[in-house]
Amino acid sequence: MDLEKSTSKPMTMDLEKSTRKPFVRPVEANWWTKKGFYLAYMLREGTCLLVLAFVLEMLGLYIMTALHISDIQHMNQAGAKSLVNYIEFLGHPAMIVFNVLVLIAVLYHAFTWFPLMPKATRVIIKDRKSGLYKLLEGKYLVALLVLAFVTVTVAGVIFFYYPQLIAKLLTPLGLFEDSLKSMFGKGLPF
Amino acid sequence: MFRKDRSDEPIYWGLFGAGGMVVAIVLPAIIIATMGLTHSVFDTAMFANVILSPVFSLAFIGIMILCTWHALHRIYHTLHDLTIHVGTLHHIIIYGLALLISLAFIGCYLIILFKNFF
Repeated sequence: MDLEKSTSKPMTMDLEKSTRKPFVRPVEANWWTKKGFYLAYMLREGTCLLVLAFVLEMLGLYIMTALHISDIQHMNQAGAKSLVNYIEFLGHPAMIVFNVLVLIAVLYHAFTWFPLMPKATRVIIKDRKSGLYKLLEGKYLVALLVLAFVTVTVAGVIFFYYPQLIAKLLTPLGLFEDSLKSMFGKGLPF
Repeated sequence: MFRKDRSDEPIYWGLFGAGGMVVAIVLPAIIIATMGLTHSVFDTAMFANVILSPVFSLAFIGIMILCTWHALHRIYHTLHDLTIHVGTLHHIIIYGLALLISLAFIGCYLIILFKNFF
């Protein structure tokens, strides 16, 4: 009975509790302000605070949109007063300054993240490093990521600010006809 | 059901890694786009385009959820550097907040989806 009990119990990695008081080396909370390298590290980690703030900003926008979705469908600007107010708040100079700070933080994150990735990426196929590994190693991966970053940013800005340009390019090819029509409502803008 | 000898860290690390990639590559474009939202939704096609398309809206919440997990995982591990020793309570609060934000995005997506298409 006892044997059965002990074998059915999953193995745990709990160490025996020590009765002694554990030694914790005292560290000052401001240790990272004393050296440039440490400061750069903490700034890198600190970028996540601005990312979180931006996510909350977007969550507010998304909640407002969900609340006023029927007003957006029916182009009822008067009904969607709080959504319009929120968007005007996002356009306030203080919020623009905040967004520029978020952008700087995200760019700092990006250009510390790209050189970091090859070190964390280990592609091992059939117990050995493959040719793919060499491609994903070092400067090739960094170049690939920077290329992806530039492409997505440029494409995103064109998409958001000049959607007509995308529609103009895609219409002669006959691609995404239905989705373009749904994007621009009843008729295409040209 | 809940095995104590297996760590749940890989899940969070995976979300952190994916989120870090998304923050680095996609988020700058979204920030630049947000700064252009100075006019009303009804003047610019862009906002309505993204929100009323189920695919773009899904991509948007995916990006935002990954960013959330990335940011909160980083905060969780940076607490140690600020000499705060994390325990179960910190774990529940921080990852619970990440879960809450994710669920809020998913809930709003479902509202938009069902009101717009059904």
